[in-house]
Amino acid sequence: MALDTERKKVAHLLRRAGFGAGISRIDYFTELGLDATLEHLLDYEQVAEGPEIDVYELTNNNGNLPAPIVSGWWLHRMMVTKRPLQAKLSLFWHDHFGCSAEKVQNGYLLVQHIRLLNRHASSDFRTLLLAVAQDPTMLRFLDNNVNVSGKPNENFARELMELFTMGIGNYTEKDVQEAARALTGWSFQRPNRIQAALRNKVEPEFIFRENQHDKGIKTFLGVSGNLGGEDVIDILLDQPVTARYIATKLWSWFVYENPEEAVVDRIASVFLGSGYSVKALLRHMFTSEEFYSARAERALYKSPADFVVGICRSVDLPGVLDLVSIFQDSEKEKRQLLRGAVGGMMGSMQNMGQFLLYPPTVAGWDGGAAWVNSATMLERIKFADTMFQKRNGPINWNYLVGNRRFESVREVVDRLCEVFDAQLPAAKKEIVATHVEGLLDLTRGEEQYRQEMLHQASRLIFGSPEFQFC
Amino acid sequence: MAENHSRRDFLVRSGSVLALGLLTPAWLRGVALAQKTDRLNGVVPRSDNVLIVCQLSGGNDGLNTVIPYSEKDYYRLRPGIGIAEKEQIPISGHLALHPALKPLQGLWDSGQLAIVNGAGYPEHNRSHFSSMKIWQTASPEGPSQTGWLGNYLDLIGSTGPVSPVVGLCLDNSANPALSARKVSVPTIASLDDISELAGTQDAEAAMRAIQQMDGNTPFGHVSQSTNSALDAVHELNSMLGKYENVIEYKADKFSSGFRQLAKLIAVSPLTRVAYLSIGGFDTHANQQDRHSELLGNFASGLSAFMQEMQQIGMAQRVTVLAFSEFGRRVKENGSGGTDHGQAGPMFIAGGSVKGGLHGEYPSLQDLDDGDLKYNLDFRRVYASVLDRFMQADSEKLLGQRFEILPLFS
Repeated sequence: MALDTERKKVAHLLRRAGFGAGISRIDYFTELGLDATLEHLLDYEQVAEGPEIDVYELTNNNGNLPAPIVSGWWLHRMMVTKRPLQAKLSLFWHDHFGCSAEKVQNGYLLVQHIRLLNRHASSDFRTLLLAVAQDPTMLRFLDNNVNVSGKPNENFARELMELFTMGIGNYTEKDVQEAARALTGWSFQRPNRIQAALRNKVEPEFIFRENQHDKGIKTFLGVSGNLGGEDVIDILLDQPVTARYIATKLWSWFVYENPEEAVVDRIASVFLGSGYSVKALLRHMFTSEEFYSARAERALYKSPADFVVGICRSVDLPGVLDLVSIFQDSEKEKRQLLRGAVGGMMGSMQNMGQFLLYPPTVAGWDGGAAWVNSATMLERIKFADTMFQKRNGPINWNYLVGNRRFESVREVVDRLCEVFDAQLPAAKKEIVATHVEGLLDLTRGEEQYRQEMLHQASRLIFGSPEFQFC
Repeated sequence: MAENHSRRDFLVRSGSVLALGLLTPAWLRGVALAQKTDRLNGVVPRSDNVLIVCQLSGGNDGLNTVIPYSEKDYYRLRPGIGIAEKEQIPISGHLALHPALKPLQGLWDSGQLAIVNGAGYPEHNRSHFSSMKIWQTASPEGPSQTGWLGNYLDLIGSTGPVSPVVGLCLDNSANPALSARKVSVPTIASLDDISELAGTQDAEAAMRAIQQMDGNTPFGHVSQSTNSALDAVHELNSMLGKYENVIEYKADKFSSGFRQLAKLIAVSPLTRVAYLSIGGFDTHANQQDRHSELLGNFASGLSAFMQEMQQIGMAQRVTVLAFSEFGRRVKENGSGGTDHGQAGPMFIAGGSVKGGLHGEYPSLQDLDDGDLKYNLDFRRVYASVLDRFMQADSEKLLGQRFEILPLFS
């Protein structure tokens, strides 16, 4: 097992800089070549985003946009986007900044928040950090809207250092208090009706309330003066530890966990040298020798998003649903079909431990090995039932394997492993083949046998240890 | 067909793991051995008792659950959602139950229901998640990797293998209270469709076979988790068919949960802890009907469960502990609901329980930011259950010694 062919490298890149791909996409990008594929993924601004459901059509009868609906809308984006790296980065930043709909329940704010993460996903880190720090969702989530002169609230100031930039242990309690003072007055307000009419926008926006700002002298990480919120951010970005912290986290998400000290030195200096350009850092990471090394190959636990979105993308589920929806009579029915399907996926992801927009804490999801436990493994196995149990479901035999003829069950298993980009050793493929052969006794008719073969083989593939890694 | 069989025969003959599912599970032999060793070593026999924890998620409105009916302030602060005195079920000279809790009257009258008032913890947290986590991990001081019940199960597991269902979380997401270092506690959404989960014997064997790997790879963690799930499903599937509930339950989530747990207890002698969590208690608006329905379901589910335990002779050995992550604001809000508050009541029911009122009811005149102040650390209840009912060392499990409440006779 090594990434010894162009095709294997391309598939690896697609798994990491996105959610993986099906056979035809891997074929296409292999033809294009690794370098061009990387540019296509990285320079996603050049690529049209693909169809988007109008999220505002998903409001309920009261005109509210419930947070779980926004989660589903976002999940659907991940499934259909032509810019998988941008989607994956948005998820990375969501995990990093950890805003939860448990507290910020307003769907409109959350849409604004996701769009912000998406817009700045690979910008320079200062632009992103400042935008997030001034985003009403964050201001509300960590209570900076009630951080006012004379009554400072340290919630945002603390997490800004502990989780968003430097990491714990690089500042004092006094720094937290002083940063909180500097951030007083950063709040949000709803636009008035004239503004709302002119901008066609009703979501609250950032506002600096000068009368609530503490104008005294603060000393933060050794710098003194009448510091404001932007000063705090600039001082944080001046700390070399910030570049190390963020670069290490990105590496651990995209390449492998616990990078070597020398790697951290190197990527931190690339990050700093590029003016905190996330895109430059990613380009460095995705072209590094380490990225294609044995240590990196299939070394990261798939998150529920990797798992679910990956499977759905590999069989082009949204495309299939689109086709199916042609047969629905009304727009409403089409939407319901989509909502039902995406809702089911959301439910599965939630049971697997990742409910989009509901990270368990401001520190995001634990991730890594913590994604896997007995309950989540049952859920991952059950995902095959969701996808393939129903014979009349959208993903049937004909769709997956076409009218190809097979000489043996083993060939079918090989084909399925290819469809799902599952790297099972030959002995395990044999186990799958043996099991699905035995299904003949339990099914009636060829069609039922084929669908059950697909269903049971998928259960085994989805439940295999190998398939839990990307 | 012939080829199909010969292939299977070949795999079995060649010592393939496919055959594994047919043998006695390793844990079962382990459990027998551990019990023997314990007896030989003179270790105090572990308790056979079963603890059911029922989590009311969302923040139950404790003030409308156990009502201080003689307090004028109660009616003054809750003109819209307060329960009229004539509807309440009085249980003392000062307190009454919400009328929907009527099904608990029998347990109360027979001294099998204890109510602990004013439970909470220092430095109150009003976030659902954070506060729930504090209750689940029994650690108001800071985050903890393991839950209070996980710690207990680890203690049982420290002397040897345990049943794959020594603990069970009846839910679709793992509960931090059960998170343990060593023992793996399965989370199962419903015991009703367990045979579906189990699939055929062949399917189970194939799934086990696919878990095999060479040497010590990161795959080991996956294999272990999947095998633990398969063990639990296998075990449950083999047992659950042997018993039909002898009491009728309603169809709501509480009743259905209690019904499944009753069945579990009836068939699974090695289960020690089971967890049920039901949501919907976050009643910020128009709470009256909703809250009444929830309490009614809780009460009838619990009451049916205790009746079934009585019938199968398990009442003495089973205790149910119900709690919520916080109570709600004393003053009702503008939309006929209540916002997040602090202290609230806990319920402890069972044949070994010493019924009655424990803890002082928080004052309605001395509020903290509009909330009832806690006056009893919830960990005292945990400690009492661990020490007096589960025969475990609560100081070791909770990290400090708490004063024991007389909750058990």
